[in-house]
Amino acid sequence: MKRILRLIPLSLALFLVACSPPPFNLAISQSARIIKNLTYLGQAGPMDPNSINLGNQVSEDVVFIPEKDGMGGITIQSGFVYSMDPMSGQQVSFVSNNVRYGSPMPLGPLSSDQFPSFMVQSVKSTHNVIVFQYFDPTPQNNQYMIATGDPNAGTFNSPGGWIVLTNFINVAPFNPPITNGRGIGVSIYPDPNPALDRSYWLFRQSGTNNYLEGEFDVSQNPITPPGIPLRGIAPYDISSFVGNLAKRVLYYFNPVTARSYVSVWNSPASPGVWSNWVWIDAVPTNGQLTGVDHRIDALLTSGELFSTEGNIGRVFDPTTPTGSLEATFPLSDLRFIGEVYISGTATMLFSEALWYNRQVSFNVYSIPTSQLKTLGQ
Amino acid sequence: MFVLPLGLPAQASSSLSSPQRNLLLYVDQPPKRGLSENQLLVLSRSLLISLQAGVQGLAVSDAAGTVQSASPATLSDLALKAGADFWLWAQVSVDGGKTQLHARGFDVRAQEMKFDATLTRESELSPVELPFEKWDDVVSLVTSSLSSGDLQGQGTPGPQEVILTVRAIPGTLITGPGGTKARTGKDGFASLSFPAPGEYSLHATLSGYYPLTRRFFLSGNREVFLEQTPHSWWALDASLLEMGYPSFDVSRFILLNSLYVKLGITTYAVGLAFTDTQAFTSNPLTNLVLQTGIYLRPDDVLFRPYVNLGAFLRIVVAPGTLGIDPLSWGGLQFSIGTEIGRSPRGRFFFEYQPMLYAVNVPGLFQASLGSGNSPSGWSFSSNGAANYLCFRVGYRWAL
Repeated sequence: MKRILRLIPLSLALFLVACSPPPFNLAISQSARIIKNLTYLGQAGPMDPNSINLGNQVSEDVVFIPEKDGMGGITIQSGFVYSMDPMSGQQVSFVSNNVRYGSPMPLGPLSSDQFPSFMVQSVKSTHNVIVFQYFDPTPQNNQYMIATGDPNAGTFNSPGGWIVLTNFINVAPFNPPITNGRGIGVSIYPDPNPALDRSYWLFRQSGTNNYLEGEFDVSQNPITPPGIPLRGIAPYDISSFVGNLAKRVLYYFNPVTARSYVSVWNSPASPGVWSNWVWIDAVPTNGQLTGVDHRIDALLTSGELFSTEGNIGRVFDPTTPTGSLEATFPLSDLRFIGEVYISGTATMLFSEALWYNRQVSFNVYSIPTSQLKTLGQ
Repeated sequence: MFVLPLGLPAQASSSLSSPQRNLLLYVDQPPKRGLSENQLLVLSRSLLISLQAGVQGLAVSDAAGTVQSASPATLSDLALKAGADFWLWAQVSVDGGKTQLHARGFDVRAQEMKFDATLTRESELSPVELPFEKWDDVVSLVTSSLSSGDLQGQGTPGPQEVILTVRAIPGTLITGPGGTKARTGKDGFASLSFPAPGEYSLHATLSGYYPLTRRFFLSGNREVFLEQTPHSWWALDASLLEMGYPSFDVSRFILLNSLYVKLGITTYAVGLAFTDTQAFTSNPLTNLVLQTGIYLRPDDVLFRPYVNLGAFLRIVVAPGTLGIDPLSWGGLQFSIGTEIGRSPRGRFFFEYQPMLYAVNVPGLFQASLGSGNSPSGWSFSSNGAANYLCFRVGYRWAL
């Protein structure tokens, strides 16, 4: 009898605590080290992950993109959930006040190396997002669209649909000489103007090694030609490092220094790795930034290059002869959203997806671009 | 000289002035005379029982310890130490198919040898017969040596007052039935009297030693030896937190048997998962725990409660992250539990251990618990979290 009595508390304990998970998640703890030095802007959620067509914590690589409010700031109340699920592919959803409106918009499968084939950014306006697809130079996959969410109507769609990039390249001032242009790389550079950002395009004449660069404004309105040539309209050949059938090219242009950068996967000059290159002048002189040895995900307004490859933040100074690493820090579960101007200050935005109690939330953090390197201290 | 190892002397209080007579029985044999140790023991007990039964009012005990020679002076000293005022020395020898018992009786009060006789049995006493041997001749010798006035209660059958002599470490407090108390003196003896026959329980306590409780059946005077175990200054715990995560703790008493400090680790590197998809979990987290605690009851009870209060530090050991957890450095923990068992060497324990976590970054900690249903027993605030359904079971060794 005594033995039975002794077993009662043990059985009770077993019952009560058998399902208690460990209060620890390495990725979250690692991200906390950096988050302590960031500014918490707010949280989107919690939301039912099924409502935004998300899988689970393990499979999803997901970022919340807050809206640029068109008044020189951002808002967390509304934004876009961009997910990269190796199983279900890429998609973007519109969320406002923790409610998903319309249907998640499928973008397409991930590439075999699971690098996103799309660039998704919010547009300085209400509930608009722009998506570029440029990694595949075939015409039907070389395009962009602007999608709009409407909480009142409960919709999220793109009235204009996908628009091929060729429409903006094959016209003046790029035609002539470009008559059958394909986008090779597109980047969006933050602009202090509260109504628009700048997009920079690297394109080439299909089937040739003739490259050009151009600028197009990005706002809530559809992109309209003419673009602005960045380096004149005399084509030049950078195929030696971009490659003739370049697909994995991340392109950036610094309007202050007129320097162009590409981060190339499997370059003919550096196969099997990400290599980074710079060129200047109207008749470009180029060189490899051998000191920049990771994929570049942003050219910052500070003139530095920022990499998030392997969920590790790296800040490079590309102005030294071969580029040099300035700071490195773990990002872990933090995802880089982009650089934006908030009240006139260039600011880096990050989000972290937090999964708990069968719901998902997104914390949004920021740090002035000028202080980014301090994260590595 | 062989001396019986199992001694049961009479009460330690002075008996020379007591009206009751107390006899110390001392049995031995000449060297190499053939009786085994057990045979000699049985013979001694047989003789003791015969004397107790045959001489009413006489308290009889047998001697403990050894003497170099059974001289009258030595035996008188032994008797005095045992609280006896009469000694009977019986030397048994088996020779030529006969058993001889050389018996001497000495009255310590009168300082007079009362008898010195040799009693003969015409056969060797077999081990089977020894317990049943009649010792009427010895009883008669003793009876005749003691005046009738010396023998209290003679001829009045029924319960008698007997003396229980307790041998323990000097200073031990002995508590008997009804709260009767005695403390062992510098010689390590204490005496208590009880009506006999009867079964009694004694509780012995001494600072620095585990308390001891023993039960005895008393039919006559008796001595018991209490084997006291020194209290450990150190203890080692092996336990499972939340039935899944191994913990090891070392305790050091500050106040013996009461207040202690405890240093331990709980590792989440290997854990039991109890989920549909996993049997084990592994997380590169280890808690270092420093606590102080106090026992709320003495340690000879079946359930011995205690409380602990302390702090824990969360250490992450993973590639790229080595040190205090950036999300939560640790927190405070309180525990109230009970040890289960009476052994001074080791006991099971079970404790309720709510934990408070300090959280450096708001909003992240709860996501650390996983994406499933919110586990029961947790609550969260912007700067902390609480797990108030946390338990630990384990085993505690005294070192």
